[in-house]
Amino acid sequence: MLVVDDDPLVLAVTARVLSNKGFPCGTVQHGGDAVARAVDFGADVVLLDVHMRPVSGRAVLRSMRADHRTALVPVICVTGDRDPATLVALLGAGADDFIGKPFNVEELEARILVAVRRRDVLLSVNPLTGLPGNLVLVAAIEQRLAEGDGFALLHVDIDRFKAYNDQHGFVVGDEVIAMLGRILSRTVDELEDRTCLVAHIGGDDFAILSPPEHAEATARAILTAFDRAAVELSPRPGAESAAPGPNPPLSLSIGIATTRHRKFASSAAMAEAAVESKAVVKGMAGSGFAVDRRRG
Amino acid sequence: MIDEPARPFGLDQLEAILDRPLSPGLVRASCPPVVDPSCLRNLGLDGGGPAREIVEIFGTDAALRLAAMRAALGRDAGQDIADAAHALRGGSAMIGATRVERICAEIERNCVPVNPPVLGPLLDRLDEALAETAAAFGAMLAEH
Repeated sequence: MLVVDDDPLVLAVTARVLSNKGFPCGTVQHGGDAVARAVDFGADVVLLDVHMRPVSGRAVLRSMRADHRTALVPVICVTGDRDPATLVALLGAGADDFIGKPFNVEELEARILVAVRRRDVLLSVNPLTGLPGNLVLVAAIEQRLAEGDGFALLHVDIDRFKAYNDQHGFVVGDEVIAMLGRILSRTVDELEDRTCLVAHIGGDDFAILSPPEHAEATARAILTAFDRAAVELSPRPGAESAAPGPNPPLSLSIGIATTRHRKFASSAAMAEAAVESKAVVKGMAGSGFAVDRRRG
Repeated sequence: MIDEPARPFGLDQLEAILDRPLSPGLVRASCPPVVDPSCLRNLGLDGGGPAREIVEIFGTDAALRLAAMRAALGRDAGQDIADAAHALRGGSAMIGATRVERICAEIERNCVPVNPPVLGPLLDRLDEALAETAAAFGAMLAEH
């Protein structure tokens, strides 16, 4: 958390208040130093006073957005000005949120937490598939475990993908990953259950959270759709784009861990159970899925 | 009814009416308190070292800003006075230096265009209010 304000009193009070709330807090009094300090400090959120001199808050905002190191850092603007034109201009310059001056401590804390959460989700979204990544997935698993909701974790993985990528190049490989992302999203959409989650863990690894009673049917639907699409995707021997060597169609393995059979102490334990199930299928030819039915 | 702003009215307009000198014969019912202790309390800074540190910073900063305002008045630099008053008003509101905050608001309203006959006495009032504020915070912190 970095506080940028040219008023030494406001700076001291804000830093003290935020430290008391448990936010590690850096401070900058001169707007011209804000970008460098945000980088050095590793700021996850910047609280920026708008009415500053000689470098204005808006100028700081523009500098932050223009610098790739701070372009995605959430900025909460502190201003007593409620003029819509001013607020629109600040939003246009890259502000993420506003808070009035003097601020209410609880409101400030809530806005900071929201900004951090949004930033985490933004950083977690995979640019290739647009699906949320590990941070969102782990948080969702932990929340469901804590609340005692029954659910299943499907770990989806393309077999021999690295070899395929090496053979055809990352552009073709990325198309396959994007295609799998679309298949997973479509399949889960058809469940019409908004509690489901599709996440892109990374590379060719995906995960789905679904109600336990839908897990196996979902896995079957995914495998059917993928096998159909994979035949079309894999370059045929003799085609111009095909590299020499064996070229079997891609296949998919899905490992399923479900709270129906076991209680899991953590997201890590559940993920491990899903991976172990997936390893069983990996040893077999073609696409398939396995459910961890161990009791515990 | 003494005065009524046209609706919808802004906070500044309302404050301007409230701060307008009362007609002879009218007695102001109550004087605003020098400090509002709830502000520091709400910030979790109502006692101990951190609160003293904040009050000390306020005193130092306010004295510098007052000096800057006097210098700016000497050269008719209304915007500079307004900027200093605005900054001091923001900090004062944050820690509950109520009287200083209200005087700063009045100063801001008389800066552009510069109104020396009003601003001079206002800066003197600000000087007095700063001393009263330091005393009030001192007494408040002595209780802890």
